[in-house]
Amino acid sequence: MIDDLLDLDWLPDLDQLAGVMDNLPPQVDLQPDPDAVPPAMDDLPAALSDALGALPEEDDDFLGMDHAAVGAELLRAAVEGLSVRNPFAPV
Amino acid sequence: MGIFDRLKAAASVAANAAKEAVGEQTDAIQRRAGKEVDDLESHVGEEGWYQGIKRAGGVGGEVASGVLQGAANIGRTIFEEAGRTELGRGIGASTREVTSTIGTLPIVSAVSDARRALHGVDALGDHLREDPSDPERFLWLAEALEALSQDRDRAVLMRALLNPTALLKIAALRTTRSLGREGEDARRRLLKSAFVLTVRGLQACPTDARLLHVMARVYLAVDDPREAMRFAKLAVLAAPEDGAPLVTLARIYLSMGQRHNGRQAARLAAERGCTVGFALLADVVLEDAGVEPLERLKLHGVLIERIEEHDMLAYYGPRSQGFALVGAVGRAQWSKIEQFLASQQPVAAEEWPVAYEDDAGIAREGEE
Repeated sequence: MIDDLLDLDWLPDLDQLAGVMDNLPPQVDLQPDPDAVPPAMDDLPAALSDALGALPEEDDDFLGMDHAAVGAELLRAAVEGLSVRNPFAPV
Repeated sequence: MGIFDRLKAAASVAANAAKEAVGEQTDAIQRRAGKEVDDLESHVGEEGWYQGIKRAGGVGGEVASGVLQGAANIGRTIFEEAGRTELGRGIGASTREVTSTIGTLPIVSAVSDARRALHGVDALGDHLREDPSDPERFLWLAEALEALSQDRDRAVLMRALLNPTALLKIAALRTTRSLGREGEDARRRLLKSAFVLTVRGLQACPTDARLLHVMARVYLAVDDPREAMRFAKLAVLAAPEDGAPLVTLARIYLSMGQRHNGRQAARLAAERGCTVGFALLADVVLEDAGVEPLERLKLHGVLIERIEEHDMLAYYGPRSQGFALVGAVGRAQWSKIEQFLASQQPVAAEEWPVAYEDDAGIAREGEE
């Protein structure tokens, strides 16, 4: 059974997904509307921006933040402003 | 031929190859085995339990080398010595249980462990088959395949360390181990699929906590801690009441060697109701050389008991037990060996180590 599983051919959408994958650029914008102006990370509170933008030191301030206080709007701005690395793009 | 048939066949091939290996020149066998161990060490050889056992083998002390020669030798050596003096009898009694446990030192069968784990892979495959539009199901299967592959490597390394005669068989075990490599391409394709589906989903709904969490784990799986951390934190912000994204954040910290942040995140995860955090805390304490081995084992036991199966299933997906089994055995056995070694010297450690009082406190609160 696992032989079939590892072939993955049983997944009907996989070829289609692979086609999408091949066309993904090395950086992928999460902004849904390509014509929209992405929100600037500058608009985010500095502490949040810092926490999301860099690898932490041994004491990460993020862990002490009030996570519930950030709110959906700021979160949406943070995500839509992202351009993420496609880890599967050819080097 | 199904995977179980092939595992059986691999075991047979391994046995034949071992016979052939015995017939070769000893130095050639050693070179071959050494090369194989070097290769495996590049994959999982940095783990603390492995390094600890390896160091113990190199210190040259009678007790340490006795441990590494196997339970039979240990038992004979210790109990012969114990019989000679009152003090010796005391030591022998106090360590009897430990040495009997060491008797189960991981002479682990890569094949049988793999078979157990593969049951879990099958279960995750069925789960994905039910809904191939769910990126999390792709991720779960990819993570399981990786765990399976790593466990095979650990099992072979463990044999090499703890049973020198296994060196003769290591070359033969390559056949078994190579089965794990079959999953690599599939794993990458699964992760790709998870990535594409998650990007699509986030473009439609940027604040979806589940998708942000899946993205973090995809990046962790492809060894990109920077992006993994960014998405894990976003997932925490999107669902601040959920402990699961904090488990992933803790895994990322630990993968970077940040034990303090890793512990903090795992504790937060447990406080927010995801008991998988206790599993990470238990792993951390087992590898902490600054804590007495006996305390390590006690605290590890307290933490492990607090893990709830439904949290494990929610985090790792529906599967039977078996993943990362060998690594867990290795860590636990190393602590037992250390405890045994420490028992040969006066030890006074009656309190919880200060650094872990809070972790133990969380676990105890959960019991009340």
